[in-house]
Amino acid sequence: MNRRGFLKTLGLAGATVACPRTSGAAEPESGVEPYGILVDTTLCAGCNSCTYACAEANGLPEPEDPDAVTKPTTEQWTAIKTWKTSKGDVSVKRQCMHCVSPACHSACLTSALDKTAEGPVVWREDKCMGCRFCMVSCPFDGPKFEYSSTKPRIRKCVMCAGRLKKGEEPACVENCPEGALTFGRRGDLLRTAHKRIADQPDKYVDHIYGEREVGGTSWLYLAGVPFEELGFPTDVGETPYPELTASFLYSVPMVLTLAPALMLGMARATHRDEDETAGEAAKDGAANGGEEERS
Amino acid sequence: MNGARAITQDRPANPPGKREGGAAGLWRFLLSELKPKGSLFTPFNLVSVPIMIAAAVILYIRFTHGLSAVTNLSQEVPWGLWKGLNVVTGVAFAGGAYVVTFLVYVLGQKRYHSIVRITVLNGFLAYVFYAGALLLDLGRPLKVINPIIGNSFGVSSVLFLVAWHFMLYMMAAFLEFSPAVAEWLGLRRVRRTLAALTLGAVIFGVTLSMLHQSGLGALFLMAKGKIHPLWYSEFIPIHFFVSSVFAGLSLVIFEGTLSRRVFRARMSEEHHAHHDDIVLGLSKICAATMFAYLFLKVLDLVHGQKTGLLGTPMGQWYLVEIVGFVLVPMALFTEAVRWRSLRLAKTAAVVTMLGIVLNRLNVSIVGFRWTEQVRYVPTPYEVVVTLGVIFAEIWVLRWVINRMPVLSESPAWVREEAAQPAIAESVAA
Amino acid sequence: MKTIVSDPFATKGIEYLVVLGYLAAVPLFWRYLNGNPLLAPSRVLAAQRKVLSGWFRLPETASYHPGHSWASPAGGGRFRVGLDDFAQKLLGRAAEIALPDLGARLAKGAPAWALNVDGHRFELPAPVTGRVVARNEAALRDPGVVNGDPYGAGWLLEIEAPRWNSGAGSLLRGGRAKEWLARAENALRLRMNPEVGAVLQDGGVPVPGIARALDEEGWDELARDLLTRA
Repeated sequence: MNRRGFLKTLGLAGATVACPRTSGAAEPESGVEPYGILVDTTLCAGCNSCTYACAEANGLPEPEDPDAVTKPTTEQWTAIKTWKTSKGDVSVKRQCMHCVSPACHSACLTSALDKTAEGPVVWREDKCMGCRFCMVSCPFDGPKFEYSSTKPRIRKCVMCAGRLKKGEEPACVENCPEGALTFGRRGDLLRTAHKRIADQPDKYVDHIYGEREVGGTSWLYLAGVPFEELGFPTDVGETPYPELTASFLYSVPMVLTLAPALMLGMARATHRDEDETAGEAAKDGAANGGEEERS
Repeated sequence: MNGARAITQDRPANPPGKREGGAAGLWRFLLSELKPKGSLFTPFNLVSVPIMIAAAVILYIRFTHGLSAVTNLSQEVPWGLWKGLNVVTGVAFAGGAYVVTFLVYVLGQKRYHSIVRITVLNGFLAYVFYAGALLLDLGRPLKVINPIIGNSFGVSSVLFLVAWHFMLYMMAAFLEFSPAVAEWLGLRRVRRTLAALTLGAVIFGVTLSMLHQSGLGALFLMAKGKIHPLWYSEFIPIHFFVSSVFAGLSLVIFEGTLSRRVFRARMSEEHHAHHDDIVLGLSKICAATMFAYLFLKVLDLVHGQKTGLLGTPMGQWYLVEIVGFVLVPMALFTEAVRWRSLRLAKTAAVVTMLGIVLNRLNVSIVGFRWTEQVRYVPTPYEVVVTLGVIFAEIWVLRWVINRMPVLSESPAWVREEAAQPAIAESVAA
Repeated sequence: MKTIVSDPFATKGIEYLVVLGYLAAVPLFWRYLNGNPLLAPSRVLAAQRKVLSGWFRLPETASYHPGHSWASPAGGGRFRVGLDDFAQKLLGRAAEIALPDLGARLAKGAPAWALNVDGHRFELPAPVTGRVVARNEAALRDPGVVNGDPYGAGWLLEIEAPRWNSGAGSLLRGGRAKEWLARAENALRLRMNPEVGAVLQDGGVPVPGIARALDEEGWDELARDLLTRA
């Protein structure tokens, strides 16, 4: 059982109402490669077609001025920012990265954030209690919270999980006029990306962002300039974020087992002296109550 | 001392358990106990009541218009003052309860016995109010039952663990305090049963406290990269746990001085007699724990190779916290112990408490997203609500102290039941 | 992709050095923390201490409980017990002494007898565990006997105690008793004003007891505090 399977077994004790998974956790892991999307930033023209398509497909309000929005928001799940780089202006589309081992999922105490077998990380309204621990934990600031609502939701790209189920591509990929977005199995996309780098080593830096970052993400990026210049966090490391809390969580049962035993022993050791000297003076009945007494 | 006697007897002479059985008697007793005792127009009341009313109004707006109406929380800074101060800091200060019960019931340090009830009560109420303040911050507070009733267990979550431990610890702390409630209500048999459960509740409570005090630190483990490296550490759970020891004890020392002034009349002789020794004993524990804590911090600097950061502005702020609010109060505690100076001990306790507030806020707010251009600064509304929660806790604490045998001696019937081997009763051989 | 930390144990060596430093510092810190400068040898303090030192009698024949009672073996598995010199001088003359009945069981450290001094009741602990077999009727009739000769005619009880379970073994004796008394004297000295010191130096016992001479108002609290300080 790989890590994702392990997390799933841990995390998905509850029923799955909002997002029934056709493949489900029961399906064996063998052979099912999750989906991903490859973004080739060298091809992106920053036209925002993806932004409009996303709004339409997910029932979001139509973006009024998407050029002015450079970070995803609760109402616009994908946003394009144009960076001034050593190789000129580069437009980069950003949204939830749909990590292979999502920090948000392991952080969520109600399992409201769910990593589906197909790849998307989705949010389930009936579970969430609005604590925003997912937002604290996410290295990419994926989840957005509706602060102005009395019934706030976590809003973010869901990789068009509903369309995927119907066998369709995510709306942004389908509507990209430049072919900057490629949808497919994550493994296939990595092969494609490596091939592009090998074919045109002058055009691309030899780094696929999301291949190994935080244990891998479903969204993968190719770029002509180092990713630092494009505002990607490059200090996140290659360890899946949930592992940062693993050793703490593993020590919990240990402490729960050992600490009471040790303390019982200590209590016995320190009270023995008393038992002997007080002797019969403390009667049985009093010995019980005597614990609390201030005599 | 005579005053103490007089006021002790001021308590209703006939708690319901003794007087008349039945729910009606209990109900009448409870109603009579709701009446305030003493003047309503004290300086504390004049300050706290308006703030609590304002907090209530703000909370009404918060629940009708959403969090953004009263807070400065943002997509980048999702946790603000309510979580950083009320929950994370407030719970650290509640640490005194587990340390003192551990000393008395596990290590058999009987001299701390007279402060057990007040610290446990303080701890229990701190959890009720400060962990309860979490509800104010939740987007969907009604869903808080989700991780508890089992329709969605996020067992991989540190917050899941912390939430459960809060809840279980509240039960354990209540059990530890419950003999005092039974004494107040005059329920003899219930009291004896409850008292017999104390050791078990204490051991369970100490274990849970170790775990959730460190768990509060573990909450920030996945915020790696968002928290300034001087405050982020893979050992942050251990730092939080160790510092909760001296945070809690400093509050006990500080609170002890206050209540000696405010509740002087209600204090038992035992309490008065041991006060100095208790304060100095706790000071010694604080000094020793802070000594170890400082080395833990040094180890963390070395391990994370962060010493180079100390020259930066954030590094200097870090040094202010470590030197000014850990090293200095540690030295003060040490000198207080050596010279048996209560005044030094109290000063040290206050400085330590400020240091804990500073540390927790540095982790959760100041060091969080320190590179961001627009920094999170709480709104006045957030500050008022935070103060309102603290005042509400003090109000309930005061209500309980004035009615139940917390600082005062247990009623006579409890002492009669207790073992009085020598003079009081002469058992023929 | 460059990795940030190449060697996960790069700092281990220094960490061990820090830990060694810590282990070396702990005993020093602990000694410093527990060292009471008031007990440290200093000329001024030594001179001050002369005022009191040797003023309270501490016969080698008895063993002492930190609650200021003494016990000495009386043969036949019995102990004669009483109030020590410190306690009697501190409290002064008692109006009345309450002793447990014959046959009563006493527990070491639990209140065994009570002195009524000027309307205040002081309970003092038994030094050993056992059964009361004799009471000093003379002391009951005239509590002044205790002030006159606390270790002799002023004894209070005889206690029959099984040797293995009397707790007498852990009473203070010899050097440890002297240390303990020095601490008690010290605590007392801290509360003293110069005039009282002079009275004591002259060898005079303030009739109402040292405590009342120190603080007319809160003397009972002061006495209780000094008696319970072990």
